[in-house]
Amino acid sequence: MRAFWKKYGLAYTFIAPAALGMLLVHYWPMLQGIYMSFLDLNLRTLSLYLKAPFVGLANYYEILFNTESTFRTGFVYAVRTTILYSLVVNLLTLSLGLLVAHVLNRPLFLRGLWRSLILLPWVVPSYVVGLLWGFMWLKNGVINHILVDILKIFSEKPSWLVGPLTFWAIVIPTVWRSWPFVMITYLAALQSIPQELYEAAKVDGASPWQRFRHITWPSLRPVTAILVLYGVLGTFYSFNIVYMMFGHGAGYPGEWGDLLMTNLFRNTFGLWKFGVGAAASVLYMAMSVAFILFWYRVFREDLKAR
Amino acid sequence: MLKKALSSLAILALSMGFAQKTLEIWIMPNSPKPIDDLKAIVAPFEKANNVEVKVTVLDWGVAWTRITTAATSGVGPDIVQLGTTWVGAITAMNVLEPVDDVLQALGGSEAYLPAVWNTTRLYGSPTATAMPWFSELRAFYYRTDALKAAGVDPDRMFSTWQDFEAGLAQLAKSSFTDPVTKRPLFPLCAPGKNTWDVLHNAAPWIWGNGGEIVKRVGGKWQSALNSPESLEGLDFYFSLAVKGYIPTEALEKNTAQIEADFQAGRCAVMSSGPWVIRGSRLPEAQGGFAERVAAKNLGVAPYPRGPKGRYTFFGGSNLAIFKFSKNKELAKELLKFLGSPEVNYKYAMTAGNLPTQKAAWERPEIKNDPLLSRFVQAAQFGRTYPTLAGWGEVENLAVQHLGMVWDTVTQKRYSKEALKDLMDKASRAINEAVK
Repeated sequence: MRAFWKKYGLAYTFIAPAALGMLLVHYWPMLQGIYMSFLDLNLRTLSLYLKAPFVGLANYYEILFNTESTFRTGFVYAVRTTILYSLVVNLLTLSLGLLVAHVLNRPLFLRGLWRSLILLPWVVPSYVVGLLWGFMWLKNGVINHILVDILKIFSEKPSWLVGPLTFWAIVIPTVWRSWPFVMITYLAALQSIPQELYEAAKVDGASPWQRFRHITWPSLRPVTAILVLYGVLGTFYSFNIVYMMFGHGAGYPGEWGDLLMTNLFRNTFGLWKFGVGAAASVLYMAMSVAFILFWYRVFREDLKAR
Repeated sequence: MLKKALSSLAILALSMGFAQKTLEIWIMPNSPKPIDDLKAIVAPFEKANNVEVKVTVLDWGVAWTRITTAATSGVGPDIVQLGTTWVGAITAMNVLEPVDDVLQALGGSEAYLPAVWNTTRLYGSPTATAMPWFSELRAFYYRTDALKAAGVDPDRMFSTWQDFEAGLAQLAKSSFTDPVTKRPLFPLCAPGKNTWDVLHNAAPWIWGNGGEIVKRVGGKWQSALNSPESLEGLDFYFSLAVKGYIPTEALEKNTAQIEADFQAGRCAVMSSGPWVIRGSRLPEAQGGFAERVAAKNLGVAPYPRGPKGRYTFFGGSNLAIFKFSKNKELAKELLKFLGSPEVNYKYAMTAGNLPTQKAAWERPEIKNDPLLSRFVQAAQFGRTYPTLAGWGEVENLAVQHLGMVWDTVTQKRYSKEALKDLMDKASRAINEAVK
């Protein structure tokens, strides 16, 4: 023990403040949240906080099996839209990011300038993105002006902020904001692939597709793994863009605009069902953990140190 | 050394004894410069009582969370601004100091309109917990030039629902164009679901047809959104959009954007609160629209009479004292100061709203003002929501389901059956929530 302390004591002392901070601001509230999911915590019992009546699994039952529950208003739509949103956004950001990274990874006039310009959307905070695109999607907004008045793609101006088109109204700004990060990450990964590999492949007569398939893609898999994890969790917990785009949180984004987090927020704080809200958060957390386990199975080999 | 330390301690103790007391107040952004505007109003009170009033501004979006957190934790201001529909809920948390004595000193129920007096307490409670601060109500704004050109008499148009619709039909056919935009005006601009006041906009049409949002049945509150009267009233309202009097492009906007459209000369009629009048008299450099054509041709009219009565939404904000305040007596004095007719009037005008004291409504500046006086007239038909503890849930569910109805309108699949189906769903959810 003494020897152990002598060897590692200093290291533990240095880690202690950070660990304590994590415990206080991360794990303690998380545990409280999990405990809250077993309480009947609503407006009337809010002042009791953690001493609110203990109801066991009743909150979980309400979300999973009570189809009459007010908490489930719009829930099924939110699940469907979130899954589609996550799929479409990540497919688009990954493919767009990879494509542009390839273009920028070769000698190009003013390459540095293009790289910086492309990164710009990524520095815009997501709630500002939601606010600005909310204006642009208006029926008489700039997007319809370009699509209808200038390019004449549609015969009449579509309503992007109501009805099924809302799905694209939230997907496109999300992609717009997230793909630059994917691109820059892929670009960094591409630049770390030794050029000799390509030269050797060329000498052996490999086609561009074969070079991509057998050199580029295997080298990019570890980075892709991280980007998929980051992207899926990001879209799963997406909130700001939808919240800001439809009346700054007021009103209801509709069947095709409402996501899990905006639904959770509205039903928890609008209906003041904090216990049920906590239970839903725990379930969502379990879903993310399940996804991470699945993700780890798929990419396990790529994540091993080589 | 010791001597020096002792003397500085003594000075510290003395200065603490004589230190100014502070009263902390949380308000929402009620006026263009929320802190400075309120500080100017309370300056005489600060001087007379040797107290500093510390003003903190909460945005409406976060106010609810901040206030309930304060109520739960016991850490917060002495005085807090509450939207009138929040009074029931916060009172039910048992964190508000009774203010019956304050209201008595201000003249009691006699001094207020019944609609305002209802908002001073939790529904059915004998104890008042909030002092009415300023009133917000809705009326129609119209363009006098557009109505004249279309041959529409405003007094006639805003007298009954049928006349209102007939007026809109005439405006739709009118060839009048705005002198600046050179384009015809939309007959009526109103937001759809992407706004915070979805229910406020629908309520007058429900009430005017004899319907209600919630009603008491055998001692219990129930949704009445799916009653035949409510459905018929709502159908009239949504039909205005289906028939094209409200343009589809307005339906995706929020209330602020609709007001901007009206100011820019794109609409003949819109519904809004008294702040538009203040805006019409302020130059653009100060955030108003006095230079615009709309400001120079502005008319105000109360909501038209429905088959079963004439109503308009009546809301506003009240002030309440937290039980945990250490300066309750002084806080009550500040409430009496802010609630007195003179100060009540002054602050309401700064905020572009209306005062709550009847005496303040009687002032010549309001009574003789051609536009503000129309709001005084509209206030007679003002109706508030019941101050239930669970009102937030009711409103939230109503807004969500009315939003779904707006979706059917914009996607051109609106029908009376679709409306009934959604209001049935809303009612089941509301009944479950208030159970």
